[in-house]
Amino acid sequence: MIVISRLCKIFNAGSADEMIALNEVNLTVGEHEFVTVIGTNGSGKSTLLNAIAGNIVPDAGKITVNGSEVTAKADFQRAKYISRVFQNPFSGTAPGMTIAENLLMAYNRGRHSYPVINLNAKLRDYFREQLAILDMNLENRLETIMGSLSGGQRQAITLLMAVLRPPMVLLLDEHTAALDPKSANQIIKLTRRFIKEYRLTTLMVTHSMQQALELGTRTIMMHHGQIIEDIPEEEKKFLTTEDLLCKFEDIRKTEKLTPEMIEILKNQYA
Amino acid sequence: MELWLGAINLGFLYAFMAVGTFITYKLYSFPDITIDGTFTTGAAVASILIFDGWNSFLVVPVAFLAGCMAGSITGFIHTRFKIEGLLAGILVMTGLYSVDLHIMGKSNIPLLSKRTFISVLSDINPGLPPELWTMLFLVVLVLVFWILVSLFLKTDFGLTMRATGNNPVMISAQGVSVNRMKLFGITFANGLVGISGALIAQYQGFADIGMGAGSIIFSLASVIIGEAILHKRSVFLQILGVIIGSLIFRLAVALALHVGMDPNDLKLITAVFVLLTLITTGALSQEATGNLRKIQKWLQIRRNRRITGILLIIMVFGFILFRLASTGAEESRKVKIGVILANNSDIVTKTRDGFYRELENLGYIDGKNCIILEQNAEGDIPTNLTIVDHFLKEEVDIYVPISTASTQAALNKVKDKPIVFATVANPFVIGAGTSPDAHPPNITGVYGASPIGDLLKIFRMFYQGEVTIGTIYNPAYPNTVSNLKDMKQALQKDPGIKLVETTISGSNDVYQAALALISKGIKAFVLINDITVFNAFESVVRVSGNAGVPIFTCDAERLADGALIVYGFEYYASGMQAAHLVDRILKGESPRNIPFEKYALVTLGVNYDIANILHIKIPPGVSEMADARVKNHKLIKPPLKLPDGKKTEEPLLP
Repeated sequence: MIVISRLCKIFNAGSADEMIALNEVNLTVGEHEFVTVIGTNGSGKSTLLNAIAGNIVPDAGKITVNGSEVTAKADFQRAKYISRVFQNPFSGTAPGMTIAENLLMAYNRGRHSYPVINLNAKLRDYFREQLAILDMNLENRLETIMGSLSGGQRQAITLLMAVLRPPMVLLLDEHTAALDPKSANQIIKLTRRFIKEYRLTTLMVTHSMQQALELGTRTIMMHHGQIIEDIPEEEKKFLTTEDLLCKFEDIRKTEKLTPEMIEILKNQYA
Repeated sequence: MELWLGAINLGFLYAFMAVGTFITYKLYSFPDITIDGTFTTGAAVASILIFDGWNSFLVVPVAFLAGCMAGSITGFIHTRFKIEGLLAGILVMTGLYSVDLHIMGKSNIPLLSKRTFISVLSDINPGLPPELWTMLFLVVLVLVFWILVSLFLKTDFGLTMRATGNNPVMISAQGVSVNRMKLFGITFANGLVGISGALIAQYQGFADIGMGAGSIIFSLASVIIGEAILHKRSVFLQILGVIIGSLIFRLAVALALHVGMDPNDLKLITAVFVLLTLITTGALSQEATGNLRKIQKWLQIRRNRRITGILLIIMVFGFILFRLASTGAEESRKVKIGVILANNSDIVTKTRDGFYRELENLGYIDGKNCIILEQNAEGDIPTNLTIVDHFLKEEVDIYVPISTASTQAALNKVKDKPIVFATVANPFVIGAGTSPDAHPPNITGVYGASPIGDLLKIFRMFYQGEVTIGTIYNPAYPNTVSNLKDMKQALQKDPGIKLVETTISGSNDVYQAALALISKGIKAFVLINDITVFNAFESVVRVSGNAGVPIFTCDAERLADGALIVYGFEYYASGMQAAHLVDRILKGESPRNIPFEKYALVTLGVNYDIANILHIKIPPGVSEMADARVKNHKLIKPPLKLPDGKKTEEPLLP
């Protein structure tokens, strides 16, 4: 369970490029809830995810995960509770190491690693079983160097690594955006499966309206650093992508047509 | 054979350092310059402890810890204050110089008569040649080290280290503190470098403040060679590659010396080699565009790396085998004289010239009835050792090391052939016996500290009463420090002279140091022999001319350079004396029975041009005694001739 209260983040405060990324955001994500996040560019959705993961320090506000406050903790300190899958399929794995070695890192997530050799035959068998779930014929390539795999394969392994030790919170940051459609589909299928199987509390940022509606139990829409729509599961069922686009269109209209502009238009057509 | 065995042994000893660099550079992409200082730190800690009677094996883990401490500072600065790795390394390396000097207390610690692991080994030697016996030991040692390090990098912790360098974003997301892992890696790597330092100090028989210079480049070269040969992902093979790389690099150095290449060129070649490899390896090529890519394509080294590596090995070993095969068929032996020069300073080259001239006068003609081999370490201390190895391989019959560093190397390695040293200020501090008569059986030579006391007596003929003088010196050199001690001792007899001293750490500081002395109101510069100051003698002359303060010095060669008065030994004559000693030994006398000789010739020189410029009147007494004069830009000096007795134990001046 994540509770976010009055979270603020301003980039380049005081300069001409000042940008309010998060403006007093309040959000509660319940246990086992799967929230999809959509929003325009610069709406603050990635900043929100980064703040939860610990990659950025908010200017104000509070974040608690399962009751313990993590606002000031570094990213690696939160890894015990939180797993991440990045947009860049190359960010989540170490290219110079084998698949087995990468999985071992995930297997040890949030725990101290000691100078003992844990990567034994038993653990390899376990990794093989897990890789088989991906259905990419990777189960017999444990000693393959990660760098030689495709983006889709690497993202699938990253996803597997994120859930190898089921976390309290899973953060997905447009994790299919950089993939070809076929790989993206595969990853989405796996995402769905893992979240269901492990009943993970999930926050997923996406660019795809379709994904946002099809997946998850709740969708939030962000704009200008604020949550402007919060759509519960019951409502989502009846919503189409067109409806969502309309909502965006509405925002665009209200934004573009500021009172001054309306004034100008009036003068032109008068 | 000794040359190649010695090179292999050095390669094994440097392997610890190379593996350290592998960890920082290959795992973390962090070229850690700290090791230039850490290497010396390891050597310093080990030698000072051995000097105090510690067990020679026990000091190795202590040196490891000392290295770790140094490395952890770099790691801390880098991770905590976000200072770029290269800069953090430079900062710590620079600071370590002073720390190393403090640990050692002086710039050179001889371990000749101390129990090093080499002497422990030789006690249990079943009768093999010493270098071969040492090699067997090192093979076992490095084998164990190889397995341990490789296994360590295969543990969960080792994997985490590797992953940290490979993808910090990923490892951070797995709950690992990148900073902490980096800190550990840099610390551990420097610990390994400390081990290398401790072992090499014992192997070469001394620790020296300058021994770490250039370590990073040599280390990088080893890592790169290793990668070229064994371009493998397996950790075991990667580490093995680094060890082999270290061996090949040392063999290449030996080969370069063998074919008579200037060791100074070797540094340039190494630097170019490392640069080329950096250009052509993956790290850069990801961002390579345009011209850089063209260069890479042209060099084609990347694609053919393994072939290049194999060719390199074949060349090195082929050449060695060829040389070993061809040494068998040699013509009737002429006596071989091996001359080792520590550097290119005036003092050293004058000694050598005098040595050669007198040798010829005594009837030894190079190529006709003797073979003279000469090699110059160009100021690089470990190179002296490799030169000695080379001479051992060439079966040199008599060794002539000129200056202290060369003598120390010869003393350590040459046990059954005579050594005649020349131009050593104090042979007793480097372990060559306790008095001119009580010395190791195979060594004799020419020595002496500069006649500072007499110079001060001459100074008194210019200035009477209360007077302040200034001197500049580099405290890093033991010779200089001992000269200063002599000067202070002489001054105790003459409380009317007040001495102001300024220390420097490099030739660049000399000008400012001279100005600082002027501001303290000195009447004259009285310079003791110090190679750093003499390298920047022009600076002192400039200040001297501008301020109207004359220079008195103990180095006879400085007369024409702008000193007012010189009173010093003729190093040229020191070489001549050494030639006579060589002659006596070659005629059958045992060096055991030849006491060390002091320098036989001293020159008092007066520069009348400078006296005119500074409006100083030369006292008649001084004029009378002068052997050499500069007048109207002309140096007038009688030809040097050794006195018959060749001994100057008695004071030179009344």
